[in-house]
Amino acid sequence: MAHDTATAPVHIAVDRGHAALPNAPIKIRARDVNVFYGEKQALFDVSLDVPENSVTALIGPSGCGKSTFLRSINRMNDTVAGCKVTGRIELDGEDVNDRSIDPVVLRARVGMVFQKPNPFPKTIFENVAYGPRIHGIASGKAELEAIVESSLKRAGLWTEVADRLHQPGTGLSGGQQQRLVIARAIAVSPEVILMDEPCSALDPIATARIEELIDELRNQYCIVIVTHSMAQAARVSQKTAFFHLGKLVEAGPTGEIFTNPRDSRTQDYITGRFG
Amino acid sequence: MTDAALTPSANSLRQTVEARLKKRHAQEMRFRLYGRLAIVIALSFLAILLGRIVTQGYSTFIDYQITVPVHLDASKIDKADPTGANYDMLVANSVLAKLGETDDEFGNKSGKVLEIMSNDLGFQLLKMVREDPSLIGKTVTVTGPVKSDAALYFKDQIKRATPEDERKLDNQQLDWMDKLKASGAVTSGFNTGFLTRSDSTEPEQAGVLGAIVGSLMMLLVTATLAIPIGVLAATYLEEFAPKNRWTDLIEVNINNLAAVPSIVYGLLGLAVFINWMAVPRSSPLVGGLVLALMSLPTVIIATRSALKAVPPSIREAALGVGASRTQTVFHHVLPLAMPGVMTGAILSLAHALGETAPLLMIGMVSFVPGVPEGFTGAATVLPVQVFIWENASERGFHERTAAAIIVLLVFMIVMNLAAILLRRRFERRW
Amino acid sequence: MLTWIALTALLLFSLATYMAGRRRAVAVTAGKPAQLHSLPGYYGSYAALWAGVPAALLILLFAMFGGRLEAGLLRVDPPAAVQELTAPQQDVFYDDARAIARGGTPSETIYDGALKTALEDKAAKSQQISSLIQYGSIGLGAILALAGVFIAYPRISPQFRARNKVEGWVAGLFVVCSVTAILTTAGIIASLVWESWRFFQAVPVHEFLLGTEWNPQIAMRADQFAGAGAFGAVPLFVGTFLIMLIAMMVAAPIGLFSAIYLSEYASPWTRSVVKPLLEILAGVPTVVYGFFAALTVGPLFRSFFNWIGAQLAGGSFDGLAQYLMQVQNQMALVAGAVMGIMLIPFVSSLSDDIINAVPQSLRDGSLAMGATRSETVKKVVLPAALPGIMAALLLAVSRAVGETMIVTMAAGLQARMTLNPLDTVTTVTVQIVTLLTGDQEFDSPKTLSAFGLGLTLFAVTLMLNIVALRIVRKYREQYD
Repeated sequence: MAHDTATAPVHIAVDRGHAALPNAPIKIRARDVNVFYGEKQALFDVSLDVPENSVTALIGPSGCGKSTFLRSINRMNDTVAGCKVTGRIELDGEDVNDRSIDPVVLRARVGMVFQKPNPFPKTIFENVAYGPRIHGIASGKAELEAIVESSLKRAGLWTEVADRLHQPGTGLSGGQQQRLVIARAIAVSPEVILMDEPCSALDPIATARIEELIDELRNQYCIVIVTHSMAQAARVSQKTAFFHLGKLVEAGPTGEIFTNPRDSRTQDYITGRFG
Repeated sequence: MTDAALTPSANSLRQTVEARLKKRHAQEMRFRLYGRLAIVIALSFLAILLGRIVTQGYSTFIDYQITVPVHLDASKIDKADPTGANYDMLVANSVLAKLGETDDEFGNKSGKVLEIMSNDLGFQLLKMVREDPSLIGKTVTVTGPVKSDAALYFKDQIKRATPEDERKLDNQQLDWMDKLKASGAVTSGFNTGFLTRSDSTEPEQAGVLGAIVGSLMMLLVTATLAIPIGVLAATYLEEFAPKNRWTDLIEVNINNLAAVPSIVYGLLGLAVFINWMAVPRSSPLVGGLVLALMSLPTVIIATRSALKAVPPSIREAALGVGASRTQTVFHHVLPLAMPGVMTGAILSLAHALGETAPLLMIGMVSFVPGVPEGFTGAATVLPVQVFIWENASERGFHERTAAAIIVLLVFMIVMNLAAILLRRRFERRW
Repeated sequence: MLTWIALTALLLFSLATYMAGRRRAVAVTAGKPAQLHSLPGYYGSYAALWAGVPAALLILLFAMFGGRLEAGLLRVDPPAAVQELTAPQQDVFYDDARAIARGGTPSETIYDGALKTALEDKAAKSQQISSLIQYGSIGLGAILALAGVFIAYPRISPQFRARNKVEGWVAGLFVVCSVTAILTTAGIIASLVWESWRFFQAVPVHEFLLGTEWNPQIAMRADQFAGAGAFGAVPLFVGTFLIMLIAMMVAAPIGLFSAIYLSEYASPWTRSVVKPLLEILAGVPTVVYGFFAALTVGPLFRSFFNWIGAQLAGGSFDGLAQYLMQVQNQMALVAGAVMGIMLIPFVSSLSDDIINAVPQSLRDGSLAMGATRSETVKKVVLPAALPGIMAALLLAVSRAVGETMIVTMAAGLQARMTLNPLDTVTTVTVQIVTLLTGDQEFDSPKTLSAFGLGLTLFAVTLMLNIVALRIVRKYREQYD
């Protein structure tokens, strides 16, 4: 699906109502980020600002480093053996790679949604309650139930699962699973939500629901989304960054990137000449 | 609606998480420590196990030989019937002469000497005289092992410090041995006898040659049966068989067979091969048959996974140029899977080499004082030899048990290394 | 020996037939082998298979069952002196006759008078019969081989589909080989059930399964054998269970934690060092563990408990102290602990596979929520892997129950109803070994009871395996 949109001639209507917020406060500030997997360098001197309360889309061809960048923000790259990150990634002015920052706290503040829906083999309730439980956020059973309910509501899943909270989360459809995972992520009230191609495993209808959801969540969270689909980037994001071969080619308000790219590579990519 | 509780308020979330952080990290460290501890415990068991066996067994490979000139007194050996003479006594008297002692009238001293000299020396004299009766009346020099208790004294395992009545050898015997050692009559060296002799009732004359040959013969039977049958069965199941209830049953059956206790195979061998087919008991043939049945499931499972690893594109390519399925499998798929198949086969043979329990069922616990005479003759094998010696009461057998284990482990390590090298050498990634 | 020569000759004959068949295939096309349906080699193989296989099968069958045939024929027309002997004596007589015929060592029975002549007579006869069987089978084999050639050779023509025929033979071979596995199972079940059935005629099933006294020695005297409760296997089951329990208490936590550490924490380097070392531990033959238990762990534990007893002696726990001072080398704890060590790599490698089968995405999901690694393991990975791990533990239990050498060498022979790990107990497998080694009379209930025990053992382990393998299969399908 992503492939289709990438090669088709582009007629993307950019929603002007979402016009980028040039003056919004900066939530994440990346400066000269380099990432190495062993000998291989995956990211080269990436510097990018991610504004608060908005959706920032990272686009680019496969293997361009956009997911790598995303995973550097919540330090998921730490789990990869032989991975090294240099440069600064600031969250509210603090370097996430600083010794004083605990990845546990960081990841509580920065939630993540993956490409393939990955609900735990537990009940729907337990899936959403997972974060609050491990972090000790809810002080009692009632509060936990309230958190689960409101998270599911925000993820737009409540009406579908309210009567089967205690059935396995793996029994839901793909789109429902992905919304369940989003509910799980927001249950701890993170400040940032990272989404790594959240719709690539979903059908168009489920994709549309997730996109709506992303748009609703934008008001409360800073969202960074990696996507293969330029149409999706155009639909949901206010800011877009184009990655190519491990380098950030250009970044700017989504409208500008799609209508008036400055770099010829961006131009080629969004018009489907490669990717 | 409890939405208010969920409004992102960075500080409160951070504080909540940080409040429990210390405890959680401590838990994490503890958990990781348990894991490390488990590994350390498992590996130290390995170290203790192997260490104990090496420390108990290495001394077997050193032996003490005594060299004495023996006068073949014509008055004591009947030329017509040289078998009848007491050669051990001749040896004992020669040793006494060397020690500068004379036997008392009851033969007490010569009796004591016989307790520290192997009767192998006497056998050697008998053999010499038989081959060349003209030796009678002359003096010959014989070299042979000392008794295992004496060797244990030289190896410092029987100590002089132990009170005399608590050890097997008395002070006089210890004195003699010191004297013999000092005079150079007793020399130490590598114990080749352990590897060139077979089982014996005397520890100092017991060796593992018979058991090694028995093990090799048995493995030969196992390999010639289990490998071809296992490979063909696996090939059929993986490449030809239709997927239906029948083949499903075979598959479940094979997996279960792989987990059947080995002693049950021994019962099968006893009932079917020995009682029904009248295959000779305790022979390499019947042992090989039993172990072949036991190894079959493992060979099949290993072969199937090797065949599974060959990508379907190879089969499609061969079928595409007009080869039949049989040709495809025999010309392309099996040769490519061969390294994996052989690795699996060697590993299951190594496992069969160490198997003991089923062999006890088919009568392999008997004392076999030589190299097996053939595939249907009585034989013993290495692990069973270990079991037999472990049960022996003489102290000299204890170190030999450990030494036999060392030999067994060396064989297994060689086989495993062969399997690993094979895998490394021919490993192919698709 | 003769059989081997005959088989070698047959092999050479088949090779010759192969060459001839190949040449003929080329010849019938008048120099245009392209007209043949199959490659010339297939025609050769076809002829060679017909020439070799039926004859080889016949010769092998006679080699396998010739002994039985001979023994049966030898009993025809027994001399009067032999008829007077009892049935077991007759067995010995015939065995001796056959042993003499083969130049083996007969039993130490002394035969005189008419029996001696009968023995010599029968020995000569035995030799006659066996050579008749041998030469007869070889002659029949030769006829079959020639007949095979006469069947196959004329069929060689350009239209003849030799390749398909040869592949038919190959397919037959395939089926025969894969049926071997089924036959093995059938053989196990048939032999165990048959011999157990004979046993259960002497000792009722319920007495065997529910009786609490095990004393098979009584059966040595024929008039006493079904003495009440002498074959009650419950103490053996209790002993087996106790040792299994101790073994699992050692193996389960250590094996599981090493698997968790290896799959979740260890660096690739650590893995590459530790895994082969654990494989060595797994490859050590059980007889070596038995030796270790009997000569190292047993004395060590014994002196430890004796020492504790000596420390406590005279104090308020004097009873306990007296008991501890009398603890023997052969206690359930020793066999169980060493068996546990043996099972560590088994549990660890099975659980390692199972844990690795849990998709990485679940771990990522949990870690991205801010869970620590141990929380991820405890709350996500282990619950997901639980069925598989249960199955792995069941397989380990099955191994522990069927393990023989360690218990034979380190547990004792006294059948006791106790769950005290410091007591001497005996197990099902130990009793099987004890009953079937040494002098045995194959028809006594004492010997047959070993098959009763074997059947029980087989049934229990089979059940454990089936359940465990089914769980593993389901588990793998879930994450495939």
